[in-house]
Amino acid sequence: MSALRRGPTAAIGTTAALVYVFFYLPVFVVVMFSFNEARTGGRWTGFTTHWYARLADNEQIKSATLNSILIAVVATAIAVVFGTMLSLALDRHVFRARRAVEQAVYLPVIAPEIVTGVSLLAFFSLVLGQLNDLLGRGTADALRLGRPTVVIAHVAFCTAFVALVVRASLRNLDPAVEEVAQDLGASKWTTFWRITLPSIAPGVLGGALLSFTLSLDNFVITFFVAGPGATTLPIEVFGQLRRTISPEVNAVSTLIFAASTLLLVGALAIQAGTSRRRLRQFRRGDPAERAKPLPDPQPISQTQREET
Amino acid sequence: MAPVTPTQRQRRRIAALLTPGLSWITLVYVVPGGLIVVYSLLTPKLGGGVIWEFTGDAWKEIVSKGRRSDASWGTLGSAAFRAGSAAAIAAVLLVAVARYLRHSARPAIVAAVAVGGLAGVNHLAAAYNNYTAVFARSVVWSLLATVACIGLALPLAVFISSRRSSITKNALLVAVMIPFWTSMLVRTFAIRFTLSNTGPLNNIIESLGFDRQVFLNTRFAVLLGLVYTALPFMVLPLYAATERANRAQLEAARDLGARPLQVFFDVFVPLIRPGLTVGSVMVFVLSVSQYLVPTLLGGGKHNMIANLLDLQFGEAFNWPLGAALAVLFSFITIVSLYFVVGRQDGADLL
Repeated sequence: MSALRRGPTAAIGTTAALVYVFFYLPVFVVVMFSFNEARTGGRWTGFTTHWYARLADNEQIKSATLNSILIAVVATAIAVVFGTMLSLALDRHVFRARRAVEQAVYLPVIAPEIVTGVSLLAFFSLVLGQLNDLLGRGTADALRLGRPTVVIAHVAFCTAFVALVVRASLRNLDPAVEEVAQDLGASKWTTFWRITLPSIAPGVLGGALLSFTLSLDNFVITFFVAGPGATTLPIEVFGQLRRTISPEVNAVSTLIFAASTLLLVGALAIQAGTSRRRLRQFRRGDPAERAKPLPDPQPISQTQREET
Repeated sequence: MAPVTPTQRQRRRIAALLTPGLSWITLVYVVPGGLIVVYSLLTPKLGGGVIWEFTGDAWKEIVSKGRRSDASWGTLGSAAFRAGSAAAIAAVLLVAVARYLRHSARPAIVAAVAVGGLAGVNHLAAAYNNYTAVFARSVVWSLLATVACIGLALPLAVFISSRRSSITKNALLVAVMIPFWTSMLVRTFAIRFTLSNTGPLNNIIESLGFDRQVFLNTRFAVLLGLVYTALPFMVLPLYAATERANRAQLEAARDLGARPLQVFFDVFVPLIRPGLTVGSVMVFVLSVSQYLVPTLLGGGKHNMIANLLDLQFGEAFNWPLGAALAVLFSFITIVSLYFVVGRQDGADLL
């Protein structure tokens, strides 16, 4: 913004720096104090990894982590398939109800989580109540809220986000390439496996990582549909930090922060690596690669919008 | 692609692709959404759940005057006074800007009246009953958070966008995306820990020779938390819009003699308007339905809509009342989204 840059550059730079401090200072404080010796308080007394060792013995945290990972893996596996199918239908086909379908797919993105949470609680308790009556199950063996209900809820919003991400990468793939493959005798199915899927693979992978993170981090919806049997990591941590003040919460927060940063950097690296490899193949003159549109040379797609 | 009528086979393929995902989303979002409307008209069951007897009690409870309500003629007068003074302050500021830009003052007056009206309605709602008070508080605080996010995110977006090297740009962007991806719980806890009574901030204050301050469970803490958690959702769309904005138009405006504020309001803001809309909608919707921030930073003293719903479904076990509140909340969200997004650039927002 050179026209603006000549204006209040210093003020813009200072604000930007302060915003970064604002973003990272509280997180940095938590990370730092997860290595603090003192059990309570915000005074630095010395370095220790004691709280991480305690964490390794904390059965509740361990089983909640396991629950979270299990739920995230199952929800992501289903959501990746359903989301990719949705995006294929929306991007490669024209049909009358497309606009309505699009809006339905965006619903989980804009619906307030708290409303989804309570209405799912009402829905599940009604359905489970009816099922228990139908199967004649008493209080001892009744079907209750648990991991399956959490997975059902997570699959819905994960599917929507996967559809959004994959659709963005489908837009970069020229449908003509798929048509050529079919003209040369490939079936729809072969075309999908040999042409479409390899081309949109970075998008599918990015969608999967996003879905995994969203499922792992989700608090509000899970809070209402988990029931006592399926405590996930965020629910367990929330419970602990309301009950006690312990540096263990700092330690587990540090680990969650590190894990999501690694997931993000991994996702970006995959995207950057793929686009750089495709660029090289393009320049080398690989005909299959020439047929595809020129890949983005930079890792983050938003930076491509600059026009010369 | 020219729109062609799909053949029978194509139609079957489209249906096969759509059915699993679409029916799953319908099952989780649409069906329970309808169910909650029905629930709001039923009788509460002790210990949670509903009895299938229709009644309008939940809705009556929401619209009736609260037991400890102090709403009176005096309240109306003080609401009018608040509305008037808020409108006057806003009018002076906005009209001054409009004059400087040599614009008609009419939009500024309309905006000032809207600010005043909001202040008055907020005051009335706060005195009427607990539900209207919490709804009004949630809306006003989320609007404040949205404005604060725009104020912080816009300089950052311009700063990132004006970097020359794409490596610097990407590094700065990743630094925004990390908090965007980090769990909301961890980030809210980070603020809670930093601000707590024996926390690091208070230790610094004490070692400087001042008294410890109570930061946590105040209005300030909740607002800070709302801004902190929602800020990345404003930066990313604003950055995308800034990057897309046509520099030549900004240069042209400058060369034709526009003053910096004129370039900003008359050229730059209209250019980045889609990004502003997306960012504001995301920040507002996220903030107005926040559960973790008012719970962990407000300590039950500064409840927002999500706490009301949690209370009715959790401790109070009045599911129909909770359902009615959820329906009202969704209705307000949908209507305001329609007014902000539906009328203008709604189609290419997402």
